Amino acid sequence: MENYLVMEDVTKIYNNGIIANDKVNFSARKGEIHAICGENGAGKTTLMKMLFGIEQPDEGKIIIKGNEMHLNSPTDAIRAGIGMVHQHFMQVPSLTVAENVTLGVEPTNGFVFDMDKAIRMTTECCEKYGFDINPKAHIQDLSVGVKQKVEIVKALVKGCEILILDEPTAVLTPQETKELFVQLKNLRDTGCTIIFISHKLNEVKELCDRVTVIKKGKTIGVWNIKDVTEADISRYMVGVDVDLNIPKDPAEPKENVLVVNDLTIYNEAGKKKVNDVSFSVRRGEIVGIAGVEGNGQREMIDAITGLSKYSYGSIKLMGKEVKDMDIGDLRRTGLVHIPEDRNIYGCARSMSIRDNMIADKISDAKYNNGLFINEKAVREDTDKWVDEFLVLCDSGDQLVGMLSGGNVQKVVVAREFTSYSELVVCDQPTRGIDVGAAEFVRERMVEMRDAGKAILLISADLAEIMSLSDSLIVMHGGRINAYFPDVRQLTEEDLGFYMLGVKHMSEEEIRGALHE
Amino acid sequence: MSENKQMKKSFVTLFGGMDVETRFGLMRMAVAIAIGLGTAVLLIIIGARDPIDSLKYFFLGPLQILNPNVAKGIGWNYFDQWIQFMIPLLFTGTAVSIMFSANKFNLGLEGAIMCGGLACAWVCCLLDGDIQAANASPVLCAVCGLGVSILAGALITLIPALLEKKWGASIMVTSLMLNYISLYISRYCLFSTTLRDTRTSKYSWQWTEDVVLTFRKFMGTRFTMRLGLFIGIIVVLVGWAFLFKTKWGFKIRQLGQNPSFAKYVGVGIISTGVIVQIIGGAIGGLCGATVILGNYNYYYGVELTGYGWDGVTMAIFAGNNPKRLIPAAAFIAYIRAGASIMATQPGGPINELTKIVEGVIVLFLLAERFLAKTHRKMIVEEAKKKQALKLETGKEAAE
Amino acid sequence: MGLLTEILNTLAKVLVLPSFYYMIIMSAAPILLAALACAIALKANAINMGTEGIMTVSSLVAVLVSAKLGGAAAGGPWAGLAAAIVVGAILGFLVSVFAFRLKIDIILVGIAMNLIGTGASVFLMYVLTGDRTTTTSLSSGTLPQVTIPLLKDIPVLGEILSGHYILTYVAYILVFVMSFLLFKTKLGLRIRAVGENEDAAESVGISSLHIKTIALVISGALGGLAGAFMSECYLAYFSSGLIAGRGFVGLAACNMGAGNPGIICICCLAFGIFYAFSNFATLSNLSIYALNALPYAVVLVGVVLYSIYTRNKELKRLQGLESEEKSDTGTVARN
Repeated sequence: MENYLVMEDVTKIYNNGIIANDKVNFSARKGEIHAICGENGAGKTTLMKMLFGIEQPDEGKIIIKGNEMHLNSPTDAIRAGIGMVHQHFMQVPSLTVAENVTLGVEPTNGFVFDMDKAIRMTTECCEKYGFDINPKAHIQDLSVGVKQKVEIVKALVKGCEILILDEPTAVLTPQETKELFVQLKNLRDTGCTIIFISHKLNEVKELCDRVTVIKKGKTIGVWNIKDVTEADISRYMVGVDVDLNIPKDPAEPKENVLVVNDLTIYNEAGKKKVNDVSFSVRRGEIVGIAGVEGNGQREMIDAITGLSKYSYGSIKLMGKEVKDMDIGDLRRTGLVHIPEDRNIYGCARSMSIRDNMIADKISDAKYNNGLFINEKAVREDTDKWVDEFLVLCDSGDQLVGMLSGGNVQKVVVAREFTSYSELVVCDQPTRGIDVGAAEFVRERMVEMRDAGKAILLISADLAEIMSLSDSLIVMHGGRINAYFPDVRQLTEEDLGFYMLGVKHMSEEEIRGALHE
Repeated sequence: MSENKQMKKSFVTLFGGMDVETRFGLMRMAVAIAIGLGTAVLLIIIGARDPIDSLKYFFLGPLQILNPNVAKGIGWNYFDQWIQFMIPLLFTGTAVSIMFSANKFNLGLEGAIMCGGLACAWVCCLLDGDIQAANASPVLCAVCGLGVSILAGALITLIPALLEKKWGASIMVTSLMLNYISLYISRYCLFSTTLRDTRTSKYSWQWTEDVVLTFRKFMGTRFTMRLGLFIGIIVVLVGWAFLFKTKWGFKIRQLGQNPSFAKYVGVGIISTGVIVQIIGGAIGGLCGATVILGNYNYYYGVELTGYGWDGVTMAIFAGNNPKRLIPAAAFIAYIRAGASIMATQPGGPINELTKIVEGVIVLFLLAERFLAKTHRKMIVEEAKKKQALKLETGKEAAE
Repeated sequence: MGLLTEILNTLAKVLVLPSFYYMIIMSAAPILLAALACAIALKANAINMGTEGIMTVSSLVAVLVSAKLGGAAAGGPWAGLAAAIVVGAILGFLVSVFAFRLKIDIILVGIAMNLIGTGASVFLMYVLTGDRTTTTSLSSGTLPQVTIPLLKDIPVLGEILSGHYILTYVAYILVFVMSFLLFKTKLGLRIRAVGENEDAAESVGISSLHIKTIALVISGALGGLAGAFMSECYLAYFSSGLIAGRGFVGLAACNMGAGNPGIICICCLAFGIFYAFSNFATLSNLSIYALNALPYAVVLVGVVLYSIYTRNKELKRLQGLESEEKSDTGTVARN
């Protein structure tokens, strides 16, 4: 069987200097389902973006059916027979299925949109590939599973021969997943090449013919799925080759600061994202939460930090129910929080470093002189923090938007770590920042622990989470899948198994996370 | 050649201390104003019978007071016109700056001004007017009038705010409708209630001249300066201090700059959004009352004033910073006064041309892409300069 | 309460008059045109607040061109109408240039456009005619009134539906045209797609900039038509306060109808009732000013009701999804 699609030595360097893909090689045959596996940030998405024309490679070639292609936009990619199902569906909710499917290649009668023909096109395509969709239904009335089918049909109608699916099962129920797999296998049998990006190794094993593993922007290898076990793939994907070597003493945990009990969260679309989770965080320890993205961590952290509400169960901070407090109250009770996305929640880019650092403390008596802000106090303290947290800038009056990512993060950390705190939530605290800044942030976290704060760390960086955490919770499918009271006993291979759902712990072991 | 160089050098020393953004901002403003004034000149040349004469009145009219050839009285009137135009701009600019700082597009200021003026007039008529026997002192009359106007104005902008908070109704649309409702409420009160002076067809009952006199002749009999100007300047300064010097203002700006961030640091974003609109409306009401009390001793609100829209223009000019409102208001009022003086001269074109000028300046001030190339160039140059400086100091250190 | 009973009493009096219905149809027409102008822009997610200004300028242009060509006798109003539409389209295009190419908040562009529009129209009127407030000195004439054969002879109905200005009929026909354009054509489909999910449209190779520009040009042309209605049908001249917020009322009607021409038309007719109402003030004990305020109050209440409706609908949809999901997981547990 000949290679239908070849990506040869493809390199992509982003503007901020991060090398997302470093001479990656990937090839797929006609009529196969080919999985791409890799940790978060390994470069899978970037690779697919280049294949779909959203990004252009700096080096390397993309060859389809023996011809080298230059894909400068999605339109080019569509023309070359490539279709992509994005994680966020690219659909117009108020339009019908047929309209969405034919958008961009609308059948017309003069100016008039030929609805009958659009419906015919959709039905034909559905029948050919065995999809059961009502072309007259409106997208907004459909369930997520059907929406995804629409997205696939949308690509097929445009004559796609290579279909990219970016974590398609993340949003589906088990039944929907089963159905999807049947249909994907049908598609393969008609000669379509499917590229399947997923973290769920059991699904990869069940569905795919071959698997390519990418790690840190490089291709690790290609295997026939028959020749590898889930454990093998996990081992190839997960690998901590840098020892962060953060100097810290063993933790001496004291009383509970945060207690989460039987927490269950539905998202806006009504999907259960967090399922009956219980754990606690004690004074003087760093509790890490590991897990592949999309397994409920996001929703859980949003609930703990007050950014969104939760449906069932309880979250108690210092013995007080979080649901009853707004974020201002939470902060007064002792919550500080390094948010995942520093540019959305972490700072106001068009305000100064000073303003950003003082943002949560502006109402403190210390910074007010009667009616007015005590600018002298603000200036003194923020200047002190700029020095203390090594923020590289001309002065505290500079706008945060002018700083580099690492320095923005230092501003965020400076603000949070200088506020009154009992619980410190660190959500991806070193994502996308330079090594020096990352090291600095990590050292600060250990200092905070030693000062008797309770620290909850969420990170996709396994090296970080393994070397920083004292105890570790692994989330999988909205549940706690494993709890390790002492991280030093844990191997990275084992961690991979639990994160990817290859192994599961018993209820009693998991219950230990609550420290009752 | 050398002269050119010297000029460049002095330019650098003048602006060198500022960062690129400030410098670029100033430059863009200067270019926008130049384009606006160029438009004005062009329009006057097209529209005037004697363009030179008209241009003279347009550019120098308000300053005729300095011209010994013009009778002192007329000169003062011209100057006074400038002041008179400036007063509402100060109020409305502050109101809109505060609302826009929190990103609330409440356009109900027009209605707030209307209702503020009406409420004030009614109180003055009751306290010291022809229809009532009560004879309060002019000061009490004015103070009560101003106080009531604040409440009335705040009420008008509060309605859209609450409707949005409760049901998500578009602030923009509801506030626009409230403007017209306010207008007809005002007309209704003026023509169909006891407020109407039965002896005339147009106006309300009159209240004591003294209030107006107090407002007008604030600085003694020789200089006719308006109290409204001082109230306006106070509002601007208080507004500036509130927005930039207090924790409440800080929170408002946070909300406007990044609502997610504001929520995350614990600002009550819904209540802050509502409060901001109340403040905006209150200032609007005060504006309406000040304008009424400063000009007439009767109420005449039968048309929308347009002051509410002026507020948007002013806020854009001042970049939502009330501190810059004083020069901005002075500038806009100056060209308006110039235009209206010009229009009263025989053969002078119509004063509405200032609206075109203002619109043009607003567009060029806001256009993000306008002069984008120059902006990029300035940033690159600055970066190079810094690099060079670093190298130099590095060398020195090495030596 | 007293106010309400008085309104109802007056309504009862005027409801029997055919001329009242005639007035409703007539006074709703310009608002309808303005609302349709806003609607096509709204569907492309571009709020065209400048409709008021576009109407002002184009209403003057219509009068000037018509008068220049010799008024009604020489077919001037038709040329005026064409000129108004062209000028409106150009202004709509300018809005799109400032908003999408120069990247200014489209609401602020609209506000600036209104400012420039009101200023420019009065200035232009002065320069070209020497008048400062109205163009009554020009004989620009009006577009013809159309009596519909057969229909005009039917009692009552003929009186109500026949004899309107031609643009009135055009306005109501445009409701269908616009529905057709938005919901049945390729362009309409693309406009709605861009308006709702720009990324989705871009991902299948549709240029959102292109589509939004087209929508705003059409919006401007409709604004021009609305302007021409005001100065060539509603009145036979231009005056500085002619448009009197009709652009804004149109915007509100469009907002209430969420850009759907049919609902917009119903809203406009509802406002038309209250506009027409004020022409019959003599039959009422109500003050004319209270009557004048009514249309705006009705719009306000309407917008609020519409918001409540959409909010409840959205809530129900989400609840429906949630219960579906729960029943799903329920079956899993049982299995």
